[in-house]
Amino acid sequence: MRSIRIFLRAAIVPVVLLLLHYALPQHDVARIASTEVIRMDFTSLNRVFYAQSDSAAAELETRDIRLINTERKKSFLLGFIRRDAEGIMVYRNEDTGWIWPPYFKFDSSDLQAEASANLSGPGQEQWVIVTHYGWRNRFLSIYPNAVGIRSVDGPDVTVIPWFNIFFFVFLVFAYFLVRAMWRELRYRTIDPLLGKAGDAIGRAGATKGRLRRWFGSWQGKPR
Amino acid sequence: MALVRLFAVGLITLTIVYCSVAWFVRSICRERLEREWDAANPDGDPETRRAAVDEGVRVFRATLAYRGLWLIYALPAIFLTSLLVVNNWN
Repeated sequence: MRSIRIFLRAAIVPVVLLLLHYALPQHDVARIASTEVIRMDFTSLNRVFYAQSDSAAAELETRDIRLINTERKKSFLLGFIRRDAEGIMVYRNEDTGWIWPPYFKFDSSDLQAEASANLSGPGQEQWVIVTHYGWRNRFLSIYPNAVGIRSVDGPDVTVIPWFNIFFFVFLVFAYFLVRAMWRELRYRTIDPLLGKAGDAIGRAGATKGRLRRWFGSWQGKPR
Repeated sequence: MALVRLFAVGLITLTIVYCSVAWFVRSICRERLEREWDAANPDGDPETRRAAVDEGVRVFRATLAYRGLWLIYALPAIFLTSLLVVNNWN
């Protein structure tokens, strides 16, 4: 029983972490090289990594996607430690509207104009902070979705991830609240109920826990 | 349509959260009242005890702190609205 629980927990943790890594906002320091629009023919493999057509427009199987081509500063540790190296990154620019993830982004066209207004070539860089969520994957042809662009003076800026800080503080708070609520429910409601129901079993003289005995009943009789 | 779905899912989720948190704080309050009553009346009548505790919980439900639980609905709504404005402000 204990090992099953440990296994289930160990399986859930990476899934939750991946989900958070995908959906939470991250910030890149980048130089916008160009913007473009390509036609995407989605497959079942990568459709889930795209949001939707522009808000209020029809949803078709094939549509145009706005892309922002950039050169960005590479970093370690989810962007916390910035490296001196540069790499390329391509962002998509899509409305998320009212759907998941809840960025309520309706201004993709405006963002594309903002990206175009901040174009710069090598040697005369205009650095910007690109706020985005999502992943770049070459095999699936998926791109992180840019949700905001803010121009900055130089590449050495510190971005404090306020949203993520509050999000994780809230997550910890919610965890302890749910735990306290679960304990309260057990002590005040479930345990007294089980205490009554368990009387007959208790009289049978068993000492093991009910679930454990039930699991035991799956196994063959001791020989 | 997506807006309606968001609204429905949000309403259901927040109602579940509201009901469970409201139950939780009432239960905490009841536990405290029971302890206090037991300390004051070491060998009191269980019937009187229940009536006193019920009355205490009824008073608690009228307090501002308990009514403040409606913020469980209000805060996410305010937060989402501000997110909508901030993310689309030009």
